[in-house]
Amino acid sequence: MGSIDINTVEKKSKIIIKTFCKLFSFLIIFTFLLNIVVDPNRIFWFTKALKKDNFMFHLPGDGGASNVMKASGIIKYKPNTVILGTSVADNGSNTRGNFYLRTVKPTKVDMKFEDKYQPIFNAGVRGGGVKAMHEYFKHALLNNPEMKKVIISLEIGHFDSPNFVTNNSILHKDHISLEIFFERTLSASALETSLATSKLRPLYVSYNTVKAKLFIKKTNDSSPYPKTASLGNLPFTFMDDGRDRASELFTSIITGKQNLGTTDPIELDQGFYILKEIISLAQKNKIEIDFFINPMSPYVYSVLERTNNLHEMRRVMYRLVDIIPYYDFYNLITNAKDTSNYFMGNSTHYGRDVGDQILTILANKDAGERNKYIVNKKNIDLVYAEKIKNISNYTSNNKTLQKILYNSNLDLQDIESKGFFEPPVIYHDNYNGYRVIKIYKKYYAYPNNKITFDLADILQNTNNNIIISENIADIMHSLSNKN
Amino acid sequence: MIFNSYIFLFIFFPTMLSIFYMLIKYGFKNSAVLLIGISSVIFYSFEGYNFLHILLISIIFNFIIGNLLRSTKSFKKIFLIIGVCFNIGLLFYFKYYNFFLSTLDISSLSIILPIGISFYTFTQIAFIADCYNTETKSYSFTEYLCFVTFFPHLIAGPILIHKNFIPQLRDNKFGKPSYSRIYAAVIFFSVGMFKKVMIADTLSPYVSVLFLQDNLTLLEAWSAALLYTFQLYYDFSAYSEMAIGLALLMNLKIPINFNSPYKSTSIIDFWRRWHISLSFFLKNYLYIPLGGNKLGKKRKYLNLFITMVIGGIWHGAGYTFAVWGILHGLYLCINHYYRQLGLKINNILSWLITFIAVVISWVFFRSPDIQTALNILRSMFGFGENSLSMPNIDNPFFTTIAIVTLLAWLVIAPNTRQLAISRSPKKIYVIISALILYFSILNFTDITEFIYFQF
Repeated sequence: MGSIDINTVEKKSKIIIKTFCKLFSFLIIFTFLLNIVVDPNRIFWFTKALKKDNFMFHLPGDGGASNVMKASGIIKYKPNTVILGTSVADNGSNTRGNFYLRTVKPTKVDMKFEDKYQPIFNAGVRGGGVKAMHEYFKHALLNNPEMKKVIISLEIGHFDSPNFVTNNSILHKDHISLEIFFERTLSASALETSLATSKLRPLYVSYNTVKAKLFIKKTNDSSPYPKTASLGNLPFTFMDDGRDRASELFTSIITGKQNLGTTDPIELDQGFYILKEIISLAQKNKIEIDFFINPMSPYVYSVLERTNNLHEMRRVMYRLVDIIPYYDFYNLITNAKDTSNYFMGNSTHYGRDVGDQILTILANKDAGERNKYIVNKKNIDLVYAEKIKNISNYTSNNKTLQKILYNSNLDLQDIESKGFFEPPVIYHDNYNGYRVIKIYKKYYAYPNNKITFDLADILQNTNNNIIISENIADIMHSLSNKN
Repeated sequence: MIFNSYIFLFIFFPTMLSIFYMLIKYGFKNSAVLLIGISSVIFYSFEGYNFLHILLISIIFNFIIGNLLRSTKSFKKIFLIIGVCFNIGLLFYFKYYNFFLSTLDISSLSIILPIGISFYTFTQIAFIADCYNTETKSYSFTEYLCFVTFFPHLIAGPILIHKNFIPQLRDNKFGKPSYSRIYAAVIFFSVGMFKKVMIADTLSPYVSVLFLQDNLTLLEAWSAALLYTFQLYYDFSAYSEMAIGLALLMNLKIPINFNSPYKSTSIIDFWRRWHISLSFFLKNYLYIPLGGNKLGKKRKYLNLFITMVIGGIWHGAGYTFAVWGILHGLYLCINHYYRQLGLKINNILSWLITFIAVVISWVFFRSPDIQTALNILRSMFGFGENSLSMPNIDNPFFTTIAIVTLLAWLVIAPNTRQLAISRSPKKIYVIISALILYFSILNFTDITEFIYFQF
C-alpha cells in the first residue's frame, strides 16, 4: 500500500513528454514556416511568388515592416544607387525596392540609368525623415562602400523630423545574422505581421481586438490602438463635380499649415544639420548626389498661398540652395493639364507617373536637359518668382479650388480651431447603422452608408442625420434609442 | 550567452545536448564531461573573450591549491591562506577596488566586473576549504573544470558544492535521465522561462521608472517596493529553475535555490527558502568557522550579524548592499532572540511582519543610494512630501490588482518544485509548459539580462 510503481511513473512520464514534444514542435515549426512563407518583410524570398489575392492586401503598418524590408533589401542587393526619402519616394519611385512593386528584377525605370549605377534600390522609408535617410544611407554605405550615386528625395514639409526612430535589428548590418533570422521567424511581432498580412488575418484581427480591449479596459487609453480613419473614407465632401476633394484638401491643409506654417525652428535647424551630414558623407565617399524636392499637389501650394504661408516654403528653398543645388519639378505638376492621376490618394504622395518622369530626367545623360530643373544660388530668385506665378495661375484657373479656398463657407481657421487636423479615430464601424468617429474632442455619428455630407454641415451641426457630442456615452445612448 | 535567447535555445543547447547524448550512448563518459566543460567555456565567452582568462586562471590556480592541500600535510594552512587570499583578492579587485578608491576620494580605474565572478569565486573557496578539511576526493582537471564552469549555474548560481556535484559525473546514470526527470526538467525550464520573460521583464520597466522618481506618493512607493520584490524573485528564481531544468536533462541535480520564500513566517524561515545555496555557503563556510553558536549567545548574534553583512557586501560594492546585510543581520538576531523567549505570534501576523521586513530591505537593495532608499521608505510610511497626494500611476486600480494577484499567487500557489517533482506526472502541466514556453520564446525580442548577473 502506498508503494510507487516506478515503471508506471516512467511510462506515464514518457507519454506525457511525447505530448510536450509534439505540441511544442508543432507550435514552433508552424510559426517558423508561416513567417518564412508569408515573409511580410521580404527578408527571405524577396520575390513575386507570393503575390496572391489576399497577400499584401493588408499591408503591415507604416514604418516598422517596410523599414525592415528596406534594410534587408540593401543587404541583399548592395546597391550602387540608393534612393533616399520618405514614403513619397517609396511610393513614387518605380524602382526595385518599392514596397508595393515586390520585384526582384530591375524595372524599366532602373534600366534608364547607366550600367555603372546599377543596381538601384529604392530605400524610401515610410514615415521617415532626414534622420531615417541618414541612417539608411550609412547602412547602404556599409553594404557597398563603392556606391556610385545617391538620389535624395526631400519632402519639404516633413524633412525636419530628426526624432524618427530608425531602429530595427537589420539596420547597420551587412548580413542577416542568426539572431535576426530567429527574430524574424519566431518573434511575436513577426508572427503578428505575418498573420495580419496573410489569409490568416481573421486570427490576427480577433487576437488584436482582444488585446486592444484588454489594454483599453486596463488603462482607459485607446490611443495606442486607434483605428485611424482614412481621410478618403470620411463622409465629407465639397461637392466638387462629383469628386470628393475633402481628403485632398485635408492633407493639403495639414501639410501646408502644420508642417510648414508652424515648423519649429530648432527642429528645422536639426533637420538641416542632418541633411548637411548626408551630403558631406556622400562627398567624402565621392558619391554623386541627385537632390530634388518632392513635387506636391497644387492644392498644397494654393493652401500655402491662401493662408499666407508661402514664406515658409521660401525659407526652406533658400536655406537649401545654400547647401546644395537641387532639382525642383513643380512644373511637371503646375503645367500639366490633368493631374488627377498624379497623386496617390493625397496631395503629398505623387504617383508613379510623376516619379517616372522625374527619374527619367535624372537618368538623362544630357546635363542640359537635367539643368532645366536645377535650382541654384544664381537662379533661385527667378525660380521662386515663377513658382509663385504658376501657383497663382493654377489657382485662378481652377474654379473648384477657388471655391474651396475663397468662396466656401468653410473657414480654415475655424477648421483648425476645431482640431480637425487631428487624425480621426473610428470608434464603431457599424453601430445600429451608424459609424462613430472621434475628431479631436468630439464624437460624430453618421449613417454608415455612402451618403456624404458637406464638411460645413458637420462643423455647424446643421445636418439632422449627424449626431455630435463630447461624450461617447451620449452618442451610444442616442443611437440605441434610434432602434 | 543567456538562456532566454534564440541562439542558446535553438543552436547551442540542442547541439551540445545531442553530442552529449551520443557520447554517453557510446560510453565516452569522460569525453561527455569534457564536452560540458568546453561548452561551458563557449557559453561564458560567447559575447567576448575579455574575462575568459580570469575564469581560467582562477580555475587552474584553485585546482592546484586544492591538490596541494589534499596531498600535503605540511604548510596546509599557508596554502589555504594563499588560496583564500587569491580568491578574495580577485573579488576585491574587480568588485570593490573602485568603491574603495571612491570612498577615499581617489579617482577610480576603468575596471569592468567579470560576469559570474562572485559565484565561481565562492564555489572555489568552498572547494579549497573542503580540501583543507580533507573532505575531498581526488578529482581530474576535467571534472573540476566541469564543476566550476557548468554552464547552467556558472553566471548566477546556484552555488555548487563539489562533493554533491562531481560524484554525479562518475555515476552510472550520468547523462541518462529517466522520463520522470525529463518531465521535471521540462516544467522547471518552461516555468522559469515564463517567469523571466513574461513576468520579471514585464515588471522591470515599471520598477525602473518608479525608482527613478523623486517624492513618490504612498501608493507609488509601495508599488515600487512591492513590484521590485516580485521582479527580483521572479527573475532570480527563474534563472535557478532554468538551470535546474537544463542540468536535469543531463541527469545532473543541482540544488534548489528557492522554496516559496514569500511564504516565510519568520526571517529564519526566509533564509531557509531564499537563495538557499548562498545561505548554505554562508552558514557552512562563514558562520560556522566564525564559531557559529558554540561560543555563547552574544558571540552567536555577532557571528550572525557579521555573516549577513558579508552576505550583503558579496552582492556588490555599495552602502545600500551593506545596509541590506545589516538589516538582515539585525532581523535574524531579533528573530533568534524572540524565539529564545518562547513567545508565539499568530501565523498570519508573523507572515505579514516578515514580508514587510523583507520588502523594506529590498528597497535598499534596489536603490542607487541610501538617500533614495530613505525617501522611498518615508513615502511608504506616509512621511514623504507627496505621500498623501494622488498617485501618478497610469491606472492605480489595475496596479493594485496586479500587485495583489502576484502576492496572492506567491503566497498561495504551489512552487515550481512542487509542480515538477511529482509522483503522478500530469499531462495538463506539460501542455501548459509547452504553451508558456512558446509564448515566452515569441517575446524574446527585448532580451534582458538576469538581475543577478551583476553580482
